[in-house]
Amino acid sequence: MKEKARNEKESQVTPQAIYQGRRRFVATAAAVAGGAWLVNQYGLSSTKEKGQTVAQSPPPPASPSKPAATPSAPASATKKSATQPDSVVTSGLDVRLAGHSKSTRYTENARDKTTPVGIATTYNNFYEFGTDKSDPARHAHRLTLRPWSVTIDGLCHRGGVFDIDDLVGAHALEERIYRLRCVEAWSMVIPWIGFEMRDLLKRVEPMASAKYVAMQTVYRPDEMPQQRSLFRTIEYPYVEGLRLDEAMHPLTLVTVGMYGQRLYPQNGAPIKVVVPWKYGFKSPKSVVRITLTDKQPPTTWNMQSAREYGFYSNVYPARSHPRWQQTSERRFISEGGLFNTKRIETLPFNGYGSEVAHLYQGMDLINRYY
Amino acid sequence: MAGRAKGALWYTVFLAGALPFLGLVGVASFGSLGADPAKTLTHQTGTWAMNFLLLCLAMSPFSTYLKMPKLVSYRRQLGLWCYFYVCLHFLVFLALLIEFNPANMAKELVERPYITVGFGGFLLLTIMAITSIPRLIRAMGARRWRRLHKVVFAVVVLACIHFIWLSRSSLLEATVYSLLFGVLIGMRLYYYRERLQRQAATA
Repeated sequence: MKEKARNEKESQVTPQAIYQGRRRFVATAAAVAGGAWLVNQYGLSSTKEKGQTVAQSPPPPASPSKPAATPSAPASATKKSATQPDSVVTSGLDVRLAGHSKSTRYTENARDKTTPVGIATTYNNFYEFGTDKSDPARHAHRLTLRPWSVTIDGLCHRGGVFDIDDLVGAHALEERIYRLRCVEAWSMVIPWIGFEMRDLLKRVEPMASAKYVAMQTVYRPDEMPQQRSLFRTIEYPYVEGLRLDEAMHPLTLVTVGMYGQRLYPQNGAPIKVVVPWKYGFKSPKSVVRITLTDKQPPTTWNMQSAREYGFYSNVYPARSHPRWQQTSERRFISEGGLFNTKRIETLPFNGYGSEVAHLYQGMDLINRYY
Repeated sequence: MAGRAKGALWYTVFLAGALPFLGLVGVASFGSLGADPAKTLTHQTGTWAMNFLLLCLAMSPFSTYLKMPKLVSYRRQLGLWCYFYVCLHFLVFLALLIEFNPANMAKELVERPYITVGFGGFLLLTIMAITSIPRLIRAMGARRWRRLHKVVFAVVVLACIHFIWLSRSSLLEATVYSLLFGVLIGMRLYYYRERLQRQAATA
């Protein structure tokens, strides 16, 4: 992996209001969460209680950008806990989120401005909570985020069931600002916080026979209304998969935070895998299982329509799609205004071609391996 | 209808047609169209076009069912409101999604079947709208006009296919609209059969 020398400072990339807001937030979060962390260290907290939502959570992240957003911010942004991040105070996670390192590797270039948090958290595809873009922000607060365990099994030597806080606790967190390209031809730029998936996979020691990684989103029909809907167009639980070398690629991130704080439930809290060179649906949310296999695992959208959604689903403008034009995309760059969305050219592998194109050498990505 | 004095009901229908548009303009100018205004606008204008198409088709069977022959005289106005929202729908698509790029438009028409079908419906409606200018109606004669305007059934079919094909996430809305159109067409067939039987009985 070539280290790219990039001149931009983050303050040039991120809208000023959000940037400053984050700084302000980080200070308060450190104070609040620091207390929680101490409590937790001495075993005083009741952290493992199911469904616990704690009042002394960090301030809603939307607040820093609110002044600029007021007229257009959806009403739900102000009234529901859904727009707050995964706010269960359980461990030192918040402290660690606050203290994450800011990686300049892979950080966006000048073409990309970070999407306002108010858009990234109210315009979501998370069909388990409803099929309208605004449904997840309204309903995802129903998802119980603690306790949460992730099962890692299959062809590995040290698999098991891991409590999320133990799992995440073993890794240093860093911020990566990634482009997110949806197959529906819109895109955002999001500052994720997480760690490289390869570090997680190395810990469980994949066997030589492992060739693929299957991932599964939580299945909780009680909390996720669409999972029991008659009109659902996909089957649940949501499953996704990667080739092992894709999962081991340093760009593939296991995320627990965004915009300097915990993931919001509508964005896939408490743990989401992010694969920035593939269409968004290849990045599963609220993951509960990761399985190493020797066969290409089934993936949800591929099962729904194999012609439209292939296993690879790399962002690849040369392959046309029957519903959306893939040669360009609408980038959401600011809130509300009618003409604040720009249509820009879509780049092969979402602009990460120099990092990942070699994974697909000699493969026909248009007709065969799409 | 043309030439006759317009009653209170005519103005009510007119207002009902204009209200969704005024609502959208209001929402747009106060900037609460959501994160993706283009999508909100295409969806809203498309939905209202469907609503007026439904209403338009409901006039004839319901005038029989409710024994209110006057209902049929609002059909043309409702049809024109449908066309108005279809035009807005197309304009929003051209301006905000295609950004007036002819190459893009050509590509969409060829590669996206739901757009091809939708555009076909738009063309048919355009023919109907143009021939609804009073002078043209008179020139055509009522019979030929009515025969031509049977293409509305083709429009319904195209509109439903357009809606079903573009639905990715949930088929609920498209299904409900298709069923409602089905009911309205079923009612027509039922009354048509009744009329035939009556004619046979009197003959």
